[in-house]
Amino acid sequence: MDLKIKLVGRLKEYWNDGSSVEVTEGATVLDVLKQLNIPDEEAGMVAINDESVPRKERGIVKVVPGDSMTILPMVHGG
Amino acid sequence: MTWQGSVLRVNLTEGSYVVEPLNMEWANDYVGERGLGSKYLVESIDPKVDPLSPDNALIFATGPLTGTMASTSGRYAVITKGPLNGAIACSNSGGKFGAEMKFAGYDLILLEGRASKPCYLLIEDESISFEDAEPIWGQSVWKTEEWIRNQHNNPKLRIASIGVAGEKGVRYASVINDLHRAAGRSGVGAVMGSKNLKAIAVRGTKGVSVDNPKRFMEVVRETKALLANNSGRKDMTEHGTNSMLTTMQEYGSLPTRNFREVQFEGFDKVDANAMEETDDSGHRNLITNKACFGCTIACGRIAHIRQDHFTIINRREYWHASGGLEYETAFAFGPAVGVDDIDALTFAGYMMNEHGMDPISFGVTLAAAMELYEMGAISKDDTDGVELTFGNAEALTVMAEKTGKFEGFGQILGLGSKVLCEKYGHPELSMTVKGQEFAGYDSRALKGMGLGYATSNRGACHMRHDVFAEDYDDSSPEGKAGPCKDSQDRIAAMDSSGLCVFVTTAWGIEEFAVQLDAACDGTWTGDRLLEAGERIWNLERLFNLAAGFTSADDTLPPRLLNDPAPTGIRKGTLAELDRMLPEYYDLRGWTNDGRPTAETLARLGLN
Ligand code: SF4
Repeated sequence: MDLKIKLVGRLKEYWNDGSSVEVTEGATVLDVLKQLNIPDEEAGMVAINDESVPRKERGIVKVVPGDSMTILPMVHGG
Repeated sequence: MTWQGSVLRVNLTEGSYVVEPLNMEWANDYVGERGLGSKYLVESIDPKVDPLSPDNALIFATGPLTGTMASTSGRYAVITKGPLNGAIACSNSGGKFGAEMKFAGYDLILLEGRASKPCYLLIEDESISFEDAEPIWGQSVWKTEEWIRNQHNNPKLRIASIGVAGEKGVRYASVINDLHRAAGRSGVGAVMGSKNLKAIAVRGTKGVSVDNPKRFMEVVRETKALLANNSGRKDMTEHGTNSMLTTMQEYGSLPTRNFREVQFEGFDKVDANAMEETDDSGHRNLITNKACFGCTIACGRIAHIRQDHFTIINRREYWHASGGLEYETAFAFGPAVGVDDIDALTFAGYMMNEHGMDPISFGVTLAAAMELYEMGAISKDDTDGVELTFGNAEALTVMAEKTGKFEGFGQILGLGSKVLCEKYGHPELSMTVKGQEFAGYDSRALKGMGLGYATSNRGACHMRHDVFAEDYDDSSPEGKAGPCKDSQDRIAAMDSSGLCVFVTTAWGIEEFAVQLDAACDGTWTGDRLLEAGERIWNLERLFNLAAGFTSADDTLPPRLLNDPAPTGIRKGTLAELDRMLPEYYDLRGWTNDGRPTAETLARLGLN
């Protein structure tokens, strides 16, 4: 199934191959991060349809067809 | 080691100085820079003094790692009672001045009193003299640096100085060193101006020595390798701190038009990518990056403005390259005031460096003025005929210059957002905590950030805590107080080391500890540093309580408490400070009204 993705800032260096990605049915957030080659700790925040997914639930929450995922880089300081 | 063991105490009133041994007991408890400077301040002044009176003290403080081979070791801090809000002020800066001051042999320079006429301090190792600054009084930072070097025929002098803003008492005037590195916040430059001190010029030839050179080289190599391989470091090197702007935009935490909104439609015209793009005429805003002393990150930006831009078309003196946009300048001159003209933003940044002002406080004060203007509380009669509407690039650049030169409406803007909004009858529009303006993060989307802002000892500040990971995790106020408190203590210790906190993209407290342990006398562990950080935080708090602040000042503006975030991933949420503050006080070992308990003071050796 197709998942819409939006990578922000430096995360584009891990995956810069369009705004959607083909993932397997039942894939978790962590599976998607792996598929995009984004280390878990590098993904500061993952939101599905503008709802953030807590880090400890990344291995549990599954994506479904039509979902749109936004991933922000981890940041420190300003 | 690696403290130099000397404090230069200067009495400006008498034109005298004395070199004192550093109080090593204090150094062991407060480390250096922010912590040690704060300890010396607390021991030197009455917290109730008028910040702009001769009774205030102004302290330049290096840290034990300043001037060493550790990465980012160019830091020094300026500590005083701040004139923007009357709280304890500590602003740190990079560049090369701090290391040079250490090489001259001084851990701290402590300035007291007020000179009878404008002067600057010339320090060449043990040789110290008071020099006449009349010829440069009224001149910019840039002219001052050039003039002093020429005067002494010494291009190696490192100079920290103030511009007209500092001389005239702009409440958020900065101390600028090396042309465009700033001890930016809280008005430390105005205190320098009130002392008739235009500059400190320093040349040092002594170097620094560390306790265990072999071990130090090893840990420096290891910690530098950690930084080198870190993706956040790489991002800062390549794109600067302004890469943050896109992230905050996407998240919905980019304060826009005086914090009415949290996303800015023109973000992509002022972000890091916009700085790096070449336009149709072949112009690219960004020229290169730049590092402070010893830094292996090099987040600094050097930029230039299109020569046909309205700000400089007839002003060749600004056709040169200079300090470019960083995240906070981009936020404060862009989204905060609704302007998306990158050259106008860059010019406003030049004004901050040239005249010595804090871009955050200036931009957020201007944003409040724009809101007052749009609601009719002020008019062109007040603003020297300038149409002060959100999005007006000319209003931004004209007011930046007027404030820097202390002219016209700039004199009102120079008092800060709190005074401005009170003067025109709308205190609720001032986006400040304890009278200091917010940085570029909205407290509704970032709850822990909001708690950090509300409890920051110098007023709203984004550099005193780091709760991003927890804030990203969920929108609840639960679980934010602990990480906020812990990170405040951690950063207080890091800010006292002589290194830049931007290394935290790759380093935790242990990386600081191993370097301090190899460099300094005694045993330095992460736990010892965290305890020192907590001690420093409480010392600052005690100063503020004695100065007259209370728990009622640990709050946020009504807009953030009552108006839900209008868009973004955290759409609909509020800052919810009341659900975090009691737990925070409890974790700190403070009473319900925010005072450290006797047990807490005893535990930290503060009684
Ligand atoms: S990271 Fe940036 S601000 Fe910090 S020392 Fe390096 S160049 Fe200076």
